[in-house]
Amino acid sequence: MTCSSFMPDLKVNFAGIGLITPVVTSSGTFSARESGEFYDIERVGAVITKGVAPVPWPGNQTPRIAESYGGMLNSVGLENPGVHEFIRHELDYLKKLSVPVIANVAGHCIDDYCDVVEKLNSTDISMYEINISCPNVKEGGMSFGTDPKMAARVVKAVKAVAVKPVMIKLSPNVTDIVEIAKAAEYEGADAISLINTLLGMKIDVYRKRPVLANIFGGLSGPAIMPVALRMVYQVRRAVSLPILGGGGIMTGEDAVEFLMAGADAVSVGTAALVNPTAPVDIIDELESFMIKEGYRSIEDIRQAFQS
Amino acid sequence: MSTEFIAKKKIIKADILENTCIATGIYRMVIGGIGISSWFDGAIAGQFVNIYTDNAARLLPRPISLCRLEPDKFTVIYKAIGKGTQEMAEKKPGDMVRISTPLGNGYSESIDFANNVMIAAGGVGVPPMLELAISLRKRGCRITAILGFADESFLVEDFREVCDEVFVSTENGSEGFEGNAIQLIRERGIVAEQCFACGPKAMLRTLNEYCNEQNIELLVSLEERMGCGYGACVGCSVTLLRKAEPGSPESEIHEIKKKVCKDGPVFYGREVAWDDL
Repeated sequence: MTCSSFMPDLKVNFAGIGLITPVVTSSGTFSARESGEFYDIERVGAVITKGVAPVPWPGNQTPRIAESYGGMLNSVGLENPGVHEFIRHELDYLKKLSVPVIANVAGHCIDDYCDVVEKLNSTDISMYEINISCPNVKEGGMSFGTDPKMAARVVKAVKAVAVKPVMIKLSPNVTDIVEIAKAAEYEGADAISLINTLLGMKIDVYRKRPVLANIFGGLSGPAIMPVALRMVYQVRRAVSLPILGGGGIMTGEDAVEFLMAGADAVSVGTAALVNPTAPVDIIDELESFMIKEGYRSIEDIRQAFQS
Repeated sequence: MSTEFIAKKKIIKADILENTCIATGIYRMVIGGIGISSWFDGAIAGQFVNIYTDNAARLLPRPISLCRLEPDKFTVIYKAIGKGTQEMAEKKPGDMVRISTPLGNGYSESIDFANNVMIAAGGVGVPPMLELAISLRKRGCRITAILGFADESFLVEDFREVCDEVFVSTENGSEGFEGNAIQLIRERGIVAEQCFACGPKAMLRTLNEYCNEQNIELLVSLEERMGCGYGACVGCSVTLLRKAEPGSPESEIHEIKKKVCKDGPVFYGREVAWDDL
């Protein structure tokens, strides 16, 4: 390998927010105190916090975790301490760090989303990620993300109260993700996050019953990456909004695939459960790839792709 | 940007010094190598390590409790039950293994240890209690251990070395008392000021009832299916019942959620919402 005379620029502007790298942590796989014991959180582009609802949610019964080939299923069900405790505990810790915070917002109904957003408006967070795609909650959640009309109503209502950019996290459990993305764009969403987990299940053949107490759970990990990549590619060609692309990213080259498919930034989730330092390892690998292949910027990577 | 980041926890590669079958399907793995002495210096009984498999398709770590801590090495005892632990069982001395540094909240100094204690353990819940027994012995505690197995015992001699009394039960009666550990405890009327326990949930639940009857303080090491094992995914949640602080708006007894991997695995029996478990 020849000695390179340049350092690539990893900075991106994502829906008006400056990120020092395009790599962000996915919701539900990052916790400031715990993740911060393994790596320097200030090195990632942004952190997306665990889904937060207006009031504490107990989540689903355990077992909530199952492993499958190249993937994992979770049925956590958005256990969270509620927005008040979230601000007091998680945001209070994060505000000491120099990293943009994107708050993932959960709800059972439109008022729930608006309630959380209004309470977070006065905090230091940079953006909302509205979770209309969690497959593990019975009311709300994914039912908003599988119907373009419902998705549109959530976006419209949240946009009316939000004072920060609104990103919508979409569900892959749909026939046509493009029409949902278009509906979100039409109602004024500022960015789109792709993808949440795929609904799946796992059976314990010795105990002759489902592994998860909830029976179904969301599949994540490298097993779903081709699906996620295809959806980013499709949505990129249908809407002009910034896209946060993710689903099974394990390496820097995986991240490059998403950038080439049309993502503006990428999210790393399950990889961080497998290897706690994955977000920063992937940044290092992305940088090495750029040096080796002669890319000076993230935009260079995006422009280089030929479909 | 922060100047220099110092990790408090890490995934490291370590050497397998020993990996032997000590009972049907039960293996003892001794792990050592560079970094073990420094990273495991403050490790205590009740903590665990994540062991990562070599197969990239098996994503999740296997959380295994520490059984024995020594200056340059530590021991884990595990049951080869699924593909991941079967892969571990095939490892040979000299092979490398990827592990986390110590995780979880063990039997720390914050516990007010009593002088007269009992240890109740069942199956693969037995190994994590050995290091605890050793540390209790160092404190000068009087220790009664009740070890329950399905059919084949293991580690009993190790417990005899550090405990004042050791009782063994097997479900099929092949060794010691015929029945489970809790039946043995009731039959013998074993009591102490404090009880430490690890084993199947059903066993711990029954033991909690017994300890309530006898006014014995119970601490349990809970097991739960984990995702990350370090507190990021909230897969291994447990409900605790806490009394409200005076003057707090909370109802007198309220539920709080804790992570088994990070806040536990050791909890007070009186706080666990046993009906939810």
